[in-house]
Amino acid sequence: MDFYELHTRSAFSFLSSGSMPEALAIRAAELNIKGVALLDRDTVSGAVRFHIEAKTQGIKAIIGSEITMDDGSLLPLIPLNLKGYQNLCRLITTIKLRAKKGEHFATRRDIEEHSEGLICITGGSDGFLHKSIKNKQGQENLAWLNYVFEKRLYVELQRHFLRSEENINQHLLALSHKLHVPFFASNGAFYGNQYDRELFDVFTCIKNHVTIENAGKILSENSERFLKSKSEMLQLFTDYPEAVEITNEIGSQIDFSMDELGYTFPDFPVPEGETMDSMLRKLAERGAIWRYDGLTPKILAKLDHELNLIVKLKLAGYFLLVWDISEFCRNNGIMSQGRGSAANSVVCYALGITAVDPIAGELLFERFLSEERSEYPDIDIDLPSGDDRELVIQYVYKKYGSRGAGMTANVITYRGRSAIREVGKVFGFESDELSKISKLISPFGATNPEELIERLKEVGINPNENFRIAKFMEMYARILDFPRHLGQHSGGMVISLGRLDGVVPLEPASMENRNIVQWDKDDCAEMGIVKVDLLGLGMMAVLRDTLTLISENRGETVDLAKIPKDDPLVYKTLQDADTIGMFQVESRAQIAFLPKSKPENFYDLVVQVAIIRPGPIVGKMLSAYIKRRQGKEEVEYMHPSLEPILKRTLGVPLFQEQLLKMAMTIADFTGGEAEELRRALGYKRADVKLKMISERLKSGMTKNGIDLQIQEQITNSIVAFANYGFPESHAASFALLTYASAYLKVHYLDAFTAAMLNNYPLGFYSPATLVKDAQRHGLKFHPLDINKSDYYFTIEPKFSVRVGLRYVKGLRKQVGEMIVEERNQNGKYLNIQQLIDRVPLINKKEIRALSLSGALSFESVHRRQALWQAELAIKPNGKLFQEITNNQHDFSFIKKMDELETIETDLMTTGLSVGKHPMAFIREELKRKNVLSASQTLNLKKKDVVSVAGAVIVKQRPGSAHKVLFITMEDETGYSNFIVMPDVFDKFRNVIMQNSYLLIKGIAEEGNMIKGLYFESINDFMAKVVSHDFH
Amino acid sequence: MSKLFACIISNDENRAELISVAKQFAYRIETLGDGIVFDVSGLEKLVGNAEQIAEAIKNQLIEHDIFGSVAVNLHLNSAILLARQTFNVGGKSSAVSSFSKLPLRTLEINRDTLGVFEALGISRIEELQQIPTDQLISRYGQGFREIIDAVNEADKRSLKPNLKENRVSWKYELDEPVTNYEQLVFLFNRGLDAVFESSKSYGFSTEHLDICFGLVDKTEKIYEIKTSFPTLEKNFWLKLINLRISFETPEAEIISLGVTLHFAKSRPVQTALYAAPKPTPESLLLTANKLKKLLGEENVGVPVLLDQRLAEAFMLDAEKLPIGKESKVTAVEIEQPIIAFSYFKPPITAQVLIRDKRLIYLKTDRFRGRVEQYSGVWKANSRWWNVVWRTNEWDVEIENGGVYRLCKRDSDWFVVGEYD
Repeated sequence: MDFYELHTRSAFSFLSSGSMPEALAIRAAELNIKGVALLDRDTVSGAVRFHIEAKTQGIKAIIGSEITMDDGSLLPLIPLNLKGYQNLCRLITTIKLRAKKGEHFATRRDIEEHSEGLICITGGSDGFLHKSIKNKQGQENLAWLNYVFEKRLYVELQRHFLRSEENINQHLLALSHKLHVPFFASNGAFYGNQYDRELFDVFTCIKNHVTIENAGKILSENSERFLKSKSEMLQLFTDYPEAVEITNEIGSQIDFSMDELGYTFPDFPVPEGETMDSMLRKLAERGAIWRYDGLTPKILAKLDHELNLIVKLKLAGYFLLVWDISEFCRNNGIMSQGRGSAANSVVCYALGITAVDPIAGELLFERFLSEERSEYPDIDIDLPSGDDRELVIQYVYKKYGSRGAGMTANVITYRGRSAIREVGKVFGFESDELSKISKLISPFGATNPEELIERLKEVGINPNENFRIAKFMEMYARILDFPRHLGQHSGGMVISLGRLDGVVPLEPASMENRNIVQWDKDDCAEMGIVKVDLLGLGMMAVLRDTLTLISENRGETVDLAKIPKDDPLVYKTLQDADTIGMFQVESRAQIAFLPKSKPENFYDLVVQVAIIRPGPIVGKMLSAYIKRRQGKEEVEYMHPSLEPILKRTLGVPLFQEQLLKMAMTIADFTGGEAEELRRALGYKRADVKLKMISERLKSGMTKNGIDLQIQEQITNSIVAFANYGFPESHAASFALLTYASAYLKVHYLDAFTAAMLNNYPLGFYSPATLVKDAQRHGLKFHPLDINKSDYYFTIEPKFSVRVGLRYVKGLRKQVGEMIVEERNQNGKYLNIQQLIDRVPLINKKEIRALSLSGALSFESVHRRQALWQAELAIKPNGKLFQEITNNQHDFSFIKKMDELETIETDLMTTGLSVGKHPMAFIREELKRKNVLSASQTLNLKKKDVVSVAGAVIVKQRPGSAHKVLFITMEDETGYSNFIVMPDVFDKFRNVIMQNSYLLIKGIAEEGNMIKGLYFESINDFMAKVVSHDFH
Repeated sequence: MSKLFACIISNDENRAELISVAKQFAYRIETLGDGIVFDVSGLEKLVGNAEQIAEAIKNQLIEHDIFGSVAVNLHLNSAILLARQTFNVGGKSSAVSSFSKLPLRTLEINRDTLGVFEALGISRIEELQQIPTDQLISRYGQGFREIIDAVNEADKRSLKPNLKENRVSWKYELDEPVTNYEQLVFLFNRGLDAVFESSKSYGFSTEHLDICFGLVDKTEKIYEIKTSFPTLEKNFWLKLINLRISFETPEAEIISLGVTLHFAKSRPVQTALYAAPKPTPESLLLTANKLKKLLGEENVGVPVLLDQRLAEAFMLDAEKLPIGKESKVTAVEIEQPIIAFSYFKPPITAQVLIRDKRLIYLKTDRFRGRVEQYSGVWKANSRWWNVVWRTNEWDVEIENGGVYRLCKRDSDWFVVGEYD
């Protein structure tokens, strides 16, 4: 007889288990356990991972959940069949959606209403029956469970070598005999093996906000809650072996697997006499006429091919749903653009979902959809971030119901600094100690524990000499990647026919009016659940606002669909890398690459967007492309048959579509195999699958007589894309936005800058840098003024903009808008008292912030005087303040801020300054010391030894750069770029990381890049200036 | 004569050492959370000016190997602030040469207001001194006056010596021997004023005065006068003193007189008329001390249960005394019966006979017998992050004997205790 462990808990019970679901499955297989029931608390978040791993390990995965009851106890439920699973999901959804986050519970009625198809087990020490026995209601409550679940109820016995358990077990056995409810044995496992008890204890401390030293008896009594084999269980229950044997009977009758999950995509409602297929065809044909000047046979054939395939795959409903969302956007003036592989489809283009013409772009439809494919296609829609996107999301909820649609979850895991902080608190480290250790964690990405140990040694802490630190480090390493909580995916929505809550439970997101499903996007993909990504894109909002500002201030209507596609000024600006604020081409790496690649047309931009990615960099495609682009290297193809595929990218494979075509051409892959290859490339849990595909690829190439060496080369270039594959269609969609943003910046700088600043945060640079960049391009900025500024940046005459109240730190939006509204209705504010009287909501801190930011400079009163006046105006009422009223106009003790102080204050109170660049104040001094300005670094010769000073605006250490750090500094003349090798960085780590203004000595390299060799902080007053640092 | 105060700020936890330094310069010493302040008035003639006094104190700190900062100032508060600031900048006294140069953040100004001053470019005390008082008061209220006083060094804070003694005394030497006690009443009046004033400054009253006459025959006549309630009513005490001395006049001529005031002890409060009083602390203390004498200081105290996962999760608190009966948990509050358990200290070595993985026979020096019943093994372990402990225990009932807790460590067996 086999043994089933029918009660385990994984890390997805959040802070209540020491093992991941996969680890439980692996351990169960090692112990030869037939099947394991994963019963996470009020969730099935770990179910998919568990199911997949269990399948791999050849054990039966039983999915259930422990349900929190109204008395705080837990009632474990296990689906016997699909109906039971649906009921479980609906039960969890019901209790989660009706309560505030973290305050949910099930009533008896909930249990009764959802009991069909579910097995109930009575649980462990925190279980419903245990609590009932303690309250002397054991018999009564077991009778109730027996009534609800009839023959599907089992009394659970657990033994962990604890004295306290025996008493309750005797009670349980007595009740079992009395009410004729069968009993079984489980170990109520909280972790796979004993060692993980430590992690469980750490989680207990995190959950209860206590240190491990002070945790006392909330910690486990021993380490016995691990998965045990049948023989171990029989030893524990020598007096009741039947309790172990019966698990086989219970486990065998469970007839539900996640594989049979009945997900169906919703039908789309169509008018009478139409089918979804016919409606889609009509809409697509009508759309094609709108999109193309004339319908050529090529277009018609392509359209027909796609529609036939869509009909065959029964996907018309999906396309209609996405079309419906796009229509909603169009009808409500919301800018939207489909991206991703959908841009390969003529149907999507015709339906107005995407904006890229796949025929003109020679895009590969198979990348989007193929007959062999077993899953739904993936359509991403970019929307302006903020209110517009929320409108669309709420439209979907309204249309499909709050239980028919949900955002996909994002499993937030313990990483870097958060892991240090949480584990550090458990080990009793003080906050200053923790911040010291946290600082050793790289802000540039994950720091592995070995690296952290080295860093600790550098600051004089040797974990090997201190057991507490050693253990802390060990636990830090072990907690990494464990789930911390469920967050919300940036845009993925899943929708289901009927009720989505029958497929996966939904729960409220922290944002109001949003529900999330308990699975992340990979889980959804594994389960074949279709997802529509409604992604918020800051740049879309910028484009929208720029067009509005142009229309309002210049009376011009700019239609992005009709702007010239080959504007020389746009390409000249791109070639000069003057791209700050432009979508996807403003990063330090892009700025370094643009003068070399010199894009001349739209396809060059498509390449530009795709090439500065880790994949091409690691795969050495970037350098090959540049050399070929500059004519320094012959265009060669790895194999002659690849020429038609790689010609547009000069023989360098850059796009996933190219790789698909390559596989189909050189290794005789079918569309389906090529599709599987694509999925393996894009899927993060792909290692094993990818290896298998690589082997198939090589065997295909061998069959076609391709040399082993070439095979290796081709395979490597494909594998380089494993984690970073970028689709051409996606790049094309992005390139449209790049071009649009460049066009608007070049021709309508005032509107574009205002829109950028009004939609901040977005992009790569701080508001201060955006302002300085615009100033260098001739745009004037007017300072904040309570009587002139709106809440947002506004355009003023003579090519100028005015800073908006939005930038006053600490000023609530509601108050900012009220200030403007009141002024528009009743005229200017004459003094601070008026402001307080007319905007009653304004508080002390806001008045202070406004005065200090310079917004309250009435009647030539300077900002410090305004602040002092404000202090009088905002004094509390009461006798204590009524005593003295004379002598209030002597401000002789208040000195006016000098120019630098004003800039410092601007940066401190608004994060930007319209005055001179702080570096300008020490320029003369720097000149005397032969320190160069940024503009002087543009004409350096290779190997020139130079000193440059500036404000650090970017520090970046890309994963692909082998720990090389890139720094960009800004001064009043522009930007200077530095590369810092790892050994130099280690030497100057503190100076580099802790200062906002640096003097860097180094040697000039190619492409205006300086290799930094020596770093020092510039003088103290610069250090005081609030940094508009990188983010 | 003007006052002069010295302050030492130090993070040295050994306050006694700090006080011993201060005692070389003053007898009036007040301890602060981060140091001590003391009255060095009058040392000018002996040591020199304020700077020289500070230097002398600093030398003493060095001698005692104490890291700290020293400031000497005419004003108590200023001395404290100066010393704190010097300490904050690494103990370099040269960083701040005068009080007016101190940063504003050394004052107890709330963070928001401090932010406003900093934004106004006012960061030092001397800059705050420039702002007219009425402007400050009209903005920050009368509550800000304390800050203004501190800034203007006009604060009224006085030194509050920390006392270890529980009494204060006054003594007077007469120029001529006196026979008639009544001649000395005016002097008693003065003496009582002095001790009462002193007592008040510490916040104590009294119910016990000692009057001491030094007699010409070099003996002392002491009158112990107690009341049943504490009071500092001078006339009342004078009457009592008069009465007492008139009943029992000194045998010889008086050459000196003294008054010692004993601070009244805080009394236990009886919260209600029929509430059971707590046990007399004195008798309990006596019993406990007798036991300590017999068994050793560290072996008598109150058992305290620890909220820890430990093999023996209790400890003996030798500092505590048992609480009274009324604080005991009543039986009603306990859900299940509690079985008392006595630990054997040290555990008794045992031999155990095992057959077919079952405990059969238990033998120790004190008891032995066939195992009637047993339960276990009960496993416990914890403190994996520090020094790991683990126990494997069995509860064993032996034939014609008691129920014992059996424990196995490595291959050795012990009986660790017995169930009552």
